[in-house]
Amino acid sequence: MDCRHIDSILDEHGVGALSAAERSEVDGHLARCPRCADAWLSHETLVRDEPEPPEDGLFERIAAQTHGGPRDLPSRHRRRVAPLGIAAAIALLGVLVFRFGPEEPARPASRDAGTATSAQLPADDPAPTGSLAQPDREARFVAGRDYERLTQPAPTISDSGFIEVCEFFMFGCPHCFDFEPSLEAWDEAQPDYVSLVRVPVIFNATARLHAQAYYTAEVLGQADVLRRPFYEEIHVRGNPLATVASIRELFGRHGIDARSFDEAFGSFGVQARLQRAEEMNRRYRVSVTPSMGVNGKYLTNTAMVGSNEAMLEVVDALVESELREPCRESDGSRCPLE
Amino acid sequence: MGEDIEKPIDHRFEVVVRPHFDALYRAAMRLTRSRENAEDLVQEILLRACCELDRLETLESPRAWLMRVQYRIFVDQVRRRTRSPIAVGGEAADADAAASEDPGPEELTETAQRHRQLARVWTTLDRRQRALLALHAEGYTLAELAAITGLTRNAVGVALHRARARLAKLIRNDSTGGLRLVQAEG
Repeated sequence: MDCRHIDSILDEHGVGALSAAERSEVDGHLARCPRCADAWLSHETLVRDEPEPPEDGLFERIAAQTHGGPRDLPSRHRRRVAPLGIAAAIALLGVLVFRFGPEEPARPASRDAGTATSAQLPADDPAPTGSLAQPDREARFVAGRDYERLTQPAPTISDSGFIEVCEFFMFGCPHCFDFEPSLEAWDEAQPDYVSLVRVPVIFNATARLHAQAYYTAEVLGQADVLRRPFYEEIHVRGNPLATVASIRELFGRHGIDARSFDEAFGSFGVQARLQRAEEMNRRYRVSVTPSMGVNGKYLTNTAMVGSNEAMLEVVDALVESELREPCRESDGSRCPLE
Repeated sequence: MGEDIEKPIDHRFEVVVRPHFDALYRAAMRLTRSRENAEDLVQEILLRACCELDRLETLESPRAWLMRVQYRIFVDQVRRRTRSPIAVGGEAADADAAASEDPGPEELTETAQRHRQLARVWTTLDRRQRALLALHAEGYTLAELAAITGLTRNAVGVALHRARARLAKLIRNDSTGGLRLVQAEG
């Protein structure tokens, strides 16, 4: 019994079909695996929360009102329909005339009307016959265009069992500063098996100083606390933090005394982390910030995909791809999920 | 089609849409967690179904179409509401109202506690997570969810796994709920 098996049971609604022996195996796995225990908790909580049935006659009541159009709806039921508006309802009917004839004719003049309502309608219905078949969108991101696949795997920090996503950033980079809220929100939404690792990029002497400061904060257990103030000091307050003294002063404002700062700043732990960051920069072949790496295998950045949001979409797709990757521990590749 | 035009529209509408109404309503209840909002949601679906009745009659699976409409209305509705400070309050108030309908904790069964806890955390999830969790809990397969949402099956799987993790975290962090891991029954 492994995590994939648990996911499969939940995904395919297989809980009720488990034998006693399988059930026992599931319970054993849940006791050991917090991720699967969480998944099971959510699934069971939702499934057991049975919705109440509709009131008797609700369909008939709504159907009778609906046939008259929005104008005939009683006040409470008009509330949500009103934004659609009568003009929009007429436009919908207009779209019908042009779009949904039995032969699916060319869709001429009403393009504007169709555009105006397309956000409201399932007008781009991907399955005109009502079938559940879907167009294949697997190839929406292309290697070499939207991301690079590394020829040699880069080192990873997270334990086996995690899919590691790296952000390569510089505190002095305004795009990294702008990206930070989106990245934090993205990270918050990730499951436990996705591990976000921040890796400072060391393009110049100031970037090295900032990287050293970042790892000092990490060694002191304050990386998450100080990251935002560090960015804001540079990009909002205009303080470049280009000297050790100015960085020490910033740390001091956040409750870290000068002695603790100095000890950590010059420590072996920070130096080792700097070397590891340089190695990861080199192996991922980072050339712009922000960039994002996935599991030591892929790199993407805004120069490739055009925006921070698009970069996160590519990362999502790569994480998804890693999730499906079969484990091949024998050839040294990472096993995404044990 | 010619002979259909001769039939009264209400009869045609009932034949095409009525068989799917209970399923739509159940899903709407799971999506919105409020009877009033669920009624408004299915009403809007029926309005659109009425506009597209000719087309619906040609479909092999009107339910697939209706579910797609429901999903898009729900996602779009929540998006509109979250852009408005007043509406955000409204949605939170919906959840609060749902939670406050229940009696005090000492009187609650485990089922009622769970219902109440879900009501408290539900609107904290983003709109797509709510939709995937609700529809999957209602019994739709990943392939069906892919057809409803327009995502690939694999993307649905990944998004669903994330949504489950997020919901579990919210449940565990919900200090007033008191529920912990729900042991599945054998």
